[in-house]
Amino acid sequence: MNKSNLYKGCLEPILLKLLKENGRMYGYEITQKVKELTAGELKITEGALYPLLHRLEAEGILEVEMENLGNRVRKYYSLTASGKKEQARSMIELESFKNTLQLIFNPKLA
Amino acid sequence: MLNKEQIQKIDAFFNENGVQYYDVRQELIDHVSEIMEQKMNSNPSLPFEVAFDETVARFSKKELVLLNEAAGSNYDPRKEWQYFTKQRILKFLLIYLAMALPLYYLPSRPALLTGALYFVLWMVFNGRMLLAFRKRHPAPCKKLNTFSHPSWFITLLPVLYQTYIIGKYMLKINTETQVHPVTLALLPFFMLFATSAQMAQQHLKEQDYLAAKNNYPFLF
Repeated sequence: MNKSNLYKGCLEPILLKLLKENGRMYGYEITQKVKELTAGELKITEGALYPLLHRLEAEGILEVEMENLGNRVRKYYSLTASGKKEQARSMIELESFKNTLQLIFNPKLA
Repeated sequence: MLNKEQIQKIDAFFNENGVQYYDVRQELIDHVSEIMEQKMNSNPSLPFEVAFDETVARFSKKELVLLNEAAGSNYDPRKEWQYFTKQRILKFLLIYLAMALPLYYLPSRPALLTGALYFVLWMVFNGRMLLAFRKRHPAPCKKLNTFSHPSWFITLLPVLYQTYIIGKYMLKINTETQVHPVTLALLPFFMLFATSAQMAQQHLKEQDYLAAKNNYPFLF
């Protein structure tokens, strides 16, 4: 099975967690941070990252800040107040998801 | 740091491959530029063209078209409701009552003519409002996702209703046709509904416009 399919559903909690820990980040920085934290195991493609960032921005979970770099503009994302609540909620959901998988794949014997 | 011409080449690549929104392209340009700058810094003899070809090879046209479409579909019309504060709702309600009560209590013929007068005045007011907004906010020279959510069709509602009234009653005005007062009282309701919806959209668009002007000043 393709591992990237397994990671797909976890992209949003990963993103929210990174933003919680790092304050504000831009697209390329996020991809590099994930690559670094997972020792290259998880590579986020631009086609998956940007639609997610844009959706979360539209939903008011993320806010943006632009910075002019001379010849180009950089868009930084950070969590809004409701984004911080969403991040906490997504962590609980992810934990519950992990526990459910644990029950199936690694049951504790009585 | 890549120069202006090099940035323009990256911009042209995304534009030709389906990313029509300038603001979406800017984000991808920054992403690609960062990758290319790292490649060129670690290998100073690497020509820009080679770094460019290597970097953009990761993008398929299909993926870019989808990315552009996804950005375009993010507009949330519920944000327009922020415009309707208690004060504004009260104001619209009072205007509605001031317009609807004469239509409700007047006899059919003067009520129909008053309704027609309201409609003409509404058309002039709405037209002027739309033109004034366009004049105050000239379109950017490139297409922006943040400023591309049209919706003027709601103004058709009063037009269709007035057409219905004209067809059903006004063309037979000499034949003592009795108009139910509620039928006429609905006309200012549709007018105010359409106008307030337009104002709510303009209010949100104005915020997007000012943000875009601040972020991409050279486009205006």
